[in-house]
Amino acid sequence: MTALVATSLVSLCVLDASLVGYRAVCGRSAFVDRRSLDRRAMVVGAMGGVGVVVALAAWFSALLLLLVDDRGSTVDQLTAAGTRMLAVYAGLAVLTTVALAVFFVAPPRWGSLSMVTILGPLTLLRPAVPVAGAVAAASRDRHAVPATLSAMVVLVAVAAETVMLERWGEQAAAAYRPL
Amino acid sequence: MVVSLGPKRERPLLEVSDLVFAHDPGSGDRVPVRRADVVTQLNAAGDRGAARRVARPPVDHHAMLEPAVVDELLIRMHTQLQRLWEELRQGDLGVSLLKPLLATIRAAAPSGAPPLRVVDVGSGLGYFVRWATATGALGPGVELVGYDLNEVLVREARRLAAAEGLACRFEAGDAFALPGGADVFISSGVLHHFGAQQLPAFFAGQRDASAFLHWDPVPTYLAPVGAWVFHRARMRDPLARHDGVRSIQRAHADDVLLEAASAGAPAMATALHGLPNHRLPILDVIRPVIGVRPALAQPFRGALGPAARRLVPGAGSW
Repeated sequence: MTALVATSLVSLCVLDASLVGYRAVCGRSAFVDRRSLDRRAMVVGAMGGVGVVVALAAWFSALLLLLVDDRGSTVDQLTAAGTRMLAVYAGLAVLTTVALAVFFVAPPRWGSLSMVTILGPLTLLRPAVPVAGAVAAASRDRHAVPATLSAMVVLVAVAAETVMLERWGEQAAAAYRPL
Repeated sequence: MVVSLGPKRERPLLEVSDLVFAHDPGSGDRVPVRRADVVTQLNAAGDRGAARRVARPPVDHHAMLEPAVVDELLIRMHTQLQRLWEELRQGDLGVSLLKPLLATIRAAAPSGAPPLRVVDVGSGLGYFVRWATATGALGPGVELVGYDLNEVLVREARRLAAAEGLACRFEAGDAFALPGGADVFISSGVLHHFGAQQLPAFFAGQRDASAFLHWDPVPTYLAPVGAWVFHRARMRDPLARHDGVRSIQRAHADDVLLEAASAGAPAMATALHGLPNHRLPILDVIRPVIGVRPALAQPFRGALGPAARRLVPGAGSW
């Protein structure tokens, strides 16, 4: 169970970061052919996501080393917190995936509709999603401090990743020239 | 039947991009814009948020807005606007009507006729012209030209086209007096910049063409909320968001567009292309007002195939 939750969250983290990278260059270059810029942005975003995963792995490792006497129950708490976090993210991930599929595959009018009704509003909601995930993961149980603390660390890591990718996107788009 | 969904307005709805750039109507030369005048106009329109933002950019020693700052702002706003056109699939939507229209005009023309000239009026950064050139979506035998009043945007459109090696042209010109004529005039998001009284003159300037196709936002009851959400999500610059929402609020109702098109180009058969009465408002974010020479109306309808069901006839025999 722990492995499944962790793998799912890691996958979503990298996928989301890739889209954050893409979004970071959107609307910053008016060239028609921006494929190489978009591809690079998604790769850089995904690498940012991997960076977040590595940082969080270090955090969890340190946590489990420090709480050596209570490792089993800490893992259980973290797994429960991760499951709650996943429940928040999964719905958004499914909706985004379906909307993106419609945008790229369906006829233009349906693609436009998908953008106007789903992808646009979801972008607006996106900053609130990591917060909602962290709130869901945080526990009221006073013995579950590591889980609550970890939820806050995840939130800070994702926010930092977004800010850094936005800065990168601004510079990369300004420097971009089509081949 | 068409319906009027346009808002009733007490105060004018102003777009900042219309106020910060001005030109001499006679010479076409750019003229300085006093920042205080723009702020006053926005305040008088009750748009205090935009007035506060416009009060921030630097001015020169004559209290005029710095042209370089205005240019940078306009290019940034239009770059963000291009993202919206891309996401609304404006290229594909435009071609879905323009291609059968050009085929209809070609079929009616004598053999050996020169390439068809398509002029994009108020082309801004020239997204549609550059996209259609880059993709070859309109096929061979089409000359694409973009006109915009704003020479800054024209220069930027030329720079972008040159960098991508695109064989299309951009010229500075007034939408009401374009030189050279065209087989088809098109535009995207331009009509709402003109008042209802100005629209007949706009269409009159195109009455000698074979056709025109002008896309503009649909002013449905859902549009202002949708525009706010979408521009908030997609535009980075506050003034770009502001103008984006205002453009939807300023959009003309169906009947206004059809009446203006008929008044300006009375010899044309006119129509809209969208769901009648916008039964599902979110499906028609933008729609074109169409004008074609009467002899082309029914062949064009035939060339549209199933998409002809969405024609909402105005004047003429369709």
